[in-house]
Amino acid sequence: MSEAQRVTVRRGRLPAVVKVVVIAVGAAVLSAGLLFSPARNVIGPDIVGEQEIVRIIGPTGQTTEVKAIIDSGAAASSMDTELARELGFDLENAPKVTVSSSLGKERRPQVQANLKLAGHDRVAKVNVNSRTGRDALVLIGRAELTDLQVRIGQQMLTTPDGKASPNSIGVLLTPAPSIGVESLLALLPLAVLLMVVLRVWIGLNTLGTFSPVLLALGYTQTGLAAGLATTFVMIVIGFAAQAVLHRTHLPRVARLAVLVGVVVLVLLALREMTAANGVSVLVGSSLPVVVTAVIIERLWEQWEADGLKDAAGSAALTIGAGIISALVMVTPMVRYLGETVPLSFAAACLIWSFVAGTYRGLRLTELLRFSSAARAQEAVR
Amino acid sequence: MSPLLRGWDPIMGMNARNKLIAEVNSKNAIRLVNNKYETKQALTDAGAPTSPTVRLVRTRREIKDIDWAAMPDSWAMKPNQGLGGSGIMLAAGRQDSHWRKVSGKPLSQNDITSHLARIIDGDFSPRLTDWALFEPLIHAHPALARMSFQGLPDIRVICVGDEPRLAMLRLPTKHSGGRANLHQRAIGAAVDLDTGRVTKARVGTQPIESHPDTGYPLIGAAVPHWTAVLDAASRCAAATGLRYLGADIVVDRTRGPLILEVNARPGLQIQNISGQGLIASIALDEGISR
Repeated sequence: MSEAQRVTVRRGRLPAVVKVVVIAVGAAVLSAGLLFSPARNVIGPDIVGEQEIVRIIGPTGQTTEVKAIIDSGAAASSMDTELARELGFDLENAPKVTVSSSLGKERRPQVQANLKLAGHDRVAKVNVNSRTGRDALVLIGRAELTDLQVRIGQQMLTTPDGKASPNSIGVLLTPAPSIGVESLLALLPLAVLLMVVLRVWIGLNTLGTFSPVLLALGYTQTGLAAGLATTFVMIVIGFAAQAVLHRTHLPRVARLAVLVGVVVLVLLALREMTAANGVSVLVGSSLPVVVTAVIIERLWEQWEADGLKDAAGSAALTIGAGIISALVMVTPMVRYLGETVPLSFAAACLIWSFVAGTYRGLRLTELLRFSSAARAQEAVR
Repeated sequence: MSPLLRGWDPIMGMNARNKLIAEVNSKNAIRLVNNKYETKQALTDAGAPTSPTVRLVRTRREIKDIDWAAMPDSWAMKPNQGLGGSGIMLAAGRQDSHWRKVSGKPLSQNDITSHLARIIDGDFSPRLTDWALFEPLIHAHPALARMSFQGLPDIRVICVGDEPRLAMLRLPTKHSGGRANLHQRAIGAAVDLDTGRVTKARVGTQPIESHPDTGYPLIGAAVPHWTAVLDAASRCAAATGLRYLGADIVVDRTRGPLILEVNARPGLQIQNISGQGLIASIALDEGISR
């Protein structure tokens, strides 16, 4: 090698290592800023969606906050027998009323409960019946909706106190929050921007480029508890199936097809099993089936190539990235932007994805990966 | 600014590598090197040494037509577009009417046929179907075989155009299961371009002086036919059209250096092995004109 060709590297004003640390810290501050942005209502005060958190105070002062279906088609509110007992209502001595519903005419006990919905205190006559197998334990009818506006296609817009929407953790911990898919559309560019930052700036690789975003969309429908449990069961059973499938010499397309089938079977079985308690009605339809099959296959490949530790790490990273994307997407501030300025918000995220992709410096994880090479370079200087 | 932080400046990261490749390696050249059969043709046409293809199998129907008696006594069967050395099957010799694995165990005709079918069904390739090709089995040069634990050691040479800029030797270990894959804990050893001798070696993140399985001393060991290895590497650019490449070269005990593969997207781990940053080594600013 001739001397002329071994030129010294042009030095940037900032050392490469400082640049990447600044960028990573910047990204962390921005995401934290989004996640912990001040509480606010997604649309405005006195507006509720089809599902809201409601506070119910029992006769003895016992209080609970549960998800309620807002149904302006129903005249009166209704709550689950079990829940009413827990709150201390005396159902045996309560007056009976006749209620006509899709189930026909029925005699139900009626109790007087103090409700708080979107900042409004109500003293409601609530009829009590078994709501097992329903999506929510409480139904709020027309009688309690005066002075409130109901937005069809929206969910989880407000908290009982009415000053703010539930924070993202609150939304995801609610069983089946079922955030409207239309509202999420404008937020997708933000979720994929997160994936760009994760790969190009931080240097973390998930199983499948955008699979965490699809998992996140699932979690905004099912809630975290049901979503994570389902993901876990699907991956474990799918993995066992893949172990058997791998020994057959089927072509890849057939193997994947069988794997998709197995994942669907698991979802169907889970839905059958959970239908009784009404918590996970949405599990079956919301989690991305084909993507899960692909995640399982990639996981298997990585296990074979790099061993259990690396594979488990990638799986945890993929699911973790899914949880973070879901958290960011249901942050009140983000939802507010998605509702009020969807076009500009999506466009801004798109432009930022492009800008983030033009970064050519080191990734944060590469500081660790190449530390020994950097030390050796240090020594020759 | 403290000079301590300047050690990272010559290190090439994934983002910089991807940009470099997108800029200097043409799509056609990348497509060519992803196709082993065509790459070998191109290398042969350019006078670069490579292992010939003795049989190409394009469809399941062609499997029946293979004249096994006409096969060499030992061979390697590979997917034409396989990734990362997956899907390779080796036969080390004939045994009666059967074949024998490198381990000495028998290899039935049935196993071979079903593996061929898997290759053709695209099990090891990013495409839906693939071709399988047979090559005469490569036997590592004794000087290299001594330095490794089974398997086939190879030399990765990073070239800018026809100029070799960095080289490392990859030596299989017990842990790597005969594969020369650093990821699976094969040894990576930096080779000095001028002398062809090993200057440092490591397994994973651990610097070593001798082979962990055999105790054979590695530092100072010489790669046989070094000038011919560099000559082979320097012919890859002209043969394939790539301007930044990683040539994988093996040294056969009788045939000498043979180009196994040409990579359009060579990995970055060589920086840790050699202790040299790729940005510095390839002299990005002058070595490759844009």
